[in-house]
Parts: sequence; structure tokens; C-alpha cells
Amino acid sequence: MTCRTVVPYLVDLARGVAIDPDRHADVDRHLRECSRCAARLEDERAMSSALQRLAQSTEEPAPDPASERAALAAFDAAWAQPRSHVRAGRWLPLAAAAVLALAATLTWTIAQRSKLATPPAPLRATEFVPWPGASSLPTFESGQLMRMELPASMALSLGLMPPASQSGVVTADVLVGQDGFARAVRLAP
Amino acid sequence: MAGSEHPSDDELIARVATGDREAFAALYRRRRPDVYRFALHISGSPVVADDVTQDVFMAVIQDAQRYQPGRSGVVPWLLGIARNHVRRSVERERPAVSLPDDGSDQARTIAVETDPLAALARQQHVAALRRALLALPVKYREAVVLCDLHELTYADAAGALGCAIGTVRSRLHRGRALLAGRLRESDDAVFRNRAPRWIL
Repeated sequence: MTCRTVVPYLVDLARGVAIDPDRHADVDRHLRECSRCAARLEDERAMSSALQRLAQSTEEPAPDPASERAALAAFDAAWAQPRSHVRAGRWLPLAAAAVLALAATLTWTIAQRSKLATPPAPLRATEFVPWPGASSLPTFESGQLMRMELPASMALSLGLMPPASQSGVVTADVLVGQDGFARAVRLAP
Repeated sequence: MAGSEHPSDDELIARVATGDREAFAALYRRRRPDVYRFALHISGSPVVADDVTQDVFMAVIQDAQRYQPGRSGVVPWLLGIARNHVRRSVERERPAVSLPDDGSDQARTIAVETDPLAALARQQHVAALRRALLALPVKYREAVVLCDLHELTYADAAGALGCAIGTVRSRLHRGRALLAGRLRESDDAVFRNRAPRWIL
């Protein structure tokens, strides 16, 4: 082996990561003959020791009852509300249809909104709002709530006002009918 | 960090997904330190680490049912969530705040040495290493923190970072090389008359 082919193994050796036994013998042989690579291995071992010391010196967070209470309160609140359980296998075709409908109607929505001089005020989060174009669809018989992430800008275009804490992506519940077309949407509670 | 506890992390996550409050509390107490320390190492800010830790467990409440046991361990999964939150937080808000340094109470308790000069040198080396780590580009910092500070396997680190194992290895190698270079520079500045190398 050459220095160039040995170097990739030095970090593994220094970190105690097992390497291919066949290669190990070749690497050992090279290290016995090459003082430069042997010195580099020692440097890598020193680096590993230094990083271990750094890890040990980092303080553990003290128990924080207030944070734990807050987390448990959030857990209670989340489970106090009805949750939608999506079975991927059963609803996958509907999900695909919903995504297609989302893309198509988004284009329609943006076009409609751009015609309005004063856009209507966004509705309060967690209220369902009709999906654009849903009124022209066949009668809604049954459906399923599907939770998905949407760009905040898309939520606004649908008439939903994301909370300030959700600046990039928002979680929304889309009510998808038995035919796979979206009927309504709300921000997820 | 291996999951030898009972019940296992996987069992706890499965129970959390069904609304088991006690399982959530147990997982929170068990894994909060891991998430906090990871966020602290990446951000350098205890405030960010606190915020990110809470954010991660909020995500667990929402997404526990999405966890796939065979794919990666719970800790890599949690750290992968934390990684995304840290990145967002650091990019959005504040610059990293230095961790406690040489003269702090924490630093004083780290090394119990009979040789005060050696103890001081070690504390200063740890502080220099911490600064050098925080100065690394974040992709290299993540690899070093996951593999060397949290001792994740390459496969688990790859799961947390959402990249290939080979990518983790190359980032780790590059990150360590950058760290070594910075530490040699700090040797020149801090230990010019006393220590020839940064080795601890």
C-alpha cells in the first residue's frame, strides 16, 4: 500500500473502528515502514483523545421540571384533540390525487387572487375553509383528513393565516373526499 | 448511547405514538440530555440548545408514528430532527454564544490534576478545541459531533444527516483535518513557550 491508500484508514484506526482484516495487515505493514504515516496515525489518535475530553467536559443539562411540565402539557393537548390516522397503504392513491389536486388548484387560486384588488382577510387558523373549486365537484359523501406540510405562502393563498411561529412550512389538514379530490383545508391544531 | 435500557427507546416511541403519556415522559427524561448536548455542540449556545430540545420533543409528539424502527435508532432519529432545528435556529436568529471557557467554574471542575500547569494547559486545550469546532463549517461540525462526540456509527450518523455513509466519512475526515489545522494555529498563539503540540 502507498501513503495515499493508507490515509483513509487512519481515522478509522484512531477511532477504533474495525476495518477489513485483509486490509488491516497491509496497513500495519505500511505503518511499520513509513514513519510519516505512523506519525499521522498518532496525530489522529491524539485528536480522538482530545474530542473525547471535550465530550466529557460538556455539561449535562440539569433536570428542568418546568420544561418537562411544558412538554407533557403539549403532549396532553395534542392527544386531547381528535387525531387523523393515515394508513399509507389504503390512502396512498387518494394522497397522490390530493397532491395533484393541490398543484392544479393552487395555480387556479393564485390566478383568482391576483385579480382581486383587495384580498379577503385570512380566516382564523384551525377553521376549515373550502378548497378552491370544491363547490363544482360532485357531492361529498365520505372522506378522510390527511395531514401534510404546505409552504406558508400556499396556506395564505388558500385563505389561512399561519401563526408567526410557522414561518416556512405549516402543517395542514386537508379533507379529501372519497373520489380523491380535496374539499376543505385547515391549519392543523 | 446504545439502547440497553428497558423499556427500549423503540418501545417507548411505539407507545408514544399511541398516546402513552408515561412513555413520553420516560423518553423525554432519558434522551433530553443527548439532544441538548448535540444542539449545544453544534450551536455553541445554551439558549439555542434549550429551545431546540423542546422543539425536538414537540416534533416527537406529532411524528412518533412516523418513526421506523428498522431504519435507524431513536437517538439518530432525534438528533436528525435536532439538526434541522439547530440549522434553522442558527440561520434565523443569533450568532453562536461561546460556551463556558477557561476561567469558569465548569472548566475548573473538569480536570483534577496534581500539576496545576498541566491542568491549565488541558483546560485551555479543551477551550481551544471547542472554539475550533464551532468555527468549522456546519456540515463538517455535524459529522465530528455525531461520530466523535456522540460516538454514533457511520450508519447512524448517515441516518441522522440524511446522507450516504461515504459522505459522513469524508466529512468527518475533512472536519478533523480542519480542526487539527486550527489547533496548531492556536498552539502557536497560546502555547508558544510551553507546549510544542496540541495533543492532550
